[in-house]
Amino acid sequence: MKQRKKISKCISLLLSSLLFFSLSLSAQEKKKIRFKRDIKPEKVVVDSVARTELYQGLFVGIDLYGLGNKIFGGDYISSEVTIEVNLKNRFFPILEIGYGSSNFTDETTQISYQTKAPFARIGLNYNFQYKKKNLSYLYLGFRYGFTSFSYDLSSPDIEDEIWNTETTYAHTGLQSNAHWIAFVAGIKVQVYNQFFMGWALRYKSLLRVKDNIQGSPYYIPGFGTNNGSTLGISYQLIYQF
Amino acid sequence: MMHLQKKYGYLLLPLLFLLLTSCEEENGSSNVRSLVRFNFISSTIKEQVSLFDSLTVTAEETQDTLIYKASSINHISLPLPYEEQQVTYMLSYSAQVRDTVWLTYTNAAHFISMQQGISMYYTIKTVEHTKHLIDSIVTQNPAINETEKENFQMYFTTTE
Repeated sequence: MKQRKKISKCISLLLSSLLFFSLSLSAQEKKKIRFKRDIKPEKVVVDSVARTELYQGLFVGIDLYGLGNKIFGGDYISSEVTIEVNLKNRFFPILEIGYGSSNFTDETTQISYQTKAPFARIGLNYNFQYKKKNLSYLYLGFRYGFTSFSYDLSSPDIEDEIWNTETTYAHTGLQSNAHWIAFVAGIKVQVYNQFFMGWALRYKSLLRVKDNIQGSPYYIPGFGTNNGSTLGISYQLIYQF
Repeated sequence: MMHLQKKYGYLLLPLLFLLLTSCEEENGSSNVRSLVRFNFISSTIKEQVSLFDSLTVTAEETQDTLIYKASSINHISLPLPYEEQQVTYMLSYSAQVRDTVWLTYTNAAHFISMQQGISMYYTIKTVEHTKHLIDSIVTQNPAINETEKENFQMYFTTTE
């Protein structure tokens, strides 16, 4: 049953990927027809003088990956807004504010975990394509993230087969907080006028998480599964002001 | 045109990541039982030694035999009750000779992981014993959890 569910998840993911690919290709085909009519593609040329100014603009984005994670079989759903300032087209101080929640029950052990809480991350990106005139960005960066949250843990009764007893396990409102750092590598490209899309790989490492004797949190809002260090990804739709 | 294809191609790379991570198999298992470990130490040479021709360990309030006629062993790892805060073990070396060990402890059920489940964690408060073959018991680590480690050194008088 579990295997069948996994396979159906993979198939649905493959179909989604193919659909997205074909949509992307058809969009490019339309542009090809337009080019045959000798209409010159619009190129955004950024004034070299403007590029030397400190303030180059503001990006506001939303993460689509965290919202779509649950659909593809993930244990959590997360939404976040990013605010990024372009300084000299090279340095991008960034603030990420979001809300993460998990309501998960393991199929094998039937252990349930619930949490929902806001989180925040601050950091900086460095754009390696600061000299390029096209509006695409290739960057490395870092983040410091933190969250304060409470979580619920429950399990079916724990059976002691030797002494023939049963122990209940259900805890609500366990308090915790977590701090972490992340290293980020990503791209961001202009897709239409002021709209950009981009993605970033994140290597996240926990600095500290408050444990409880009843058990550590399974999922940390803004960080992900409580594994010490983990790889993550973000997929963003961004608007430039 | 090539530039556009390259640009949008880059945007599709995360789907590959999503595909790889979502198709991972998970290995399930049931709850893990924490065990208290006693290492056997020779009082003469102060080293861990293998002992006994036939050691059977039982506990009060259960019909189960925890260890049955073990021979040449250098340690024993024993379960503790989930619901009580004390346990009595009987170590039978033969039909006539046996020692009794009493432990008192605090306990709390602890969530380890979704796959490994819940394990009872214990903290030993006191240990007492009879002295037929046991010389003494020294506490090395009073915390008992799913990671098995030496909790006690159980000293026996041995001849070289």
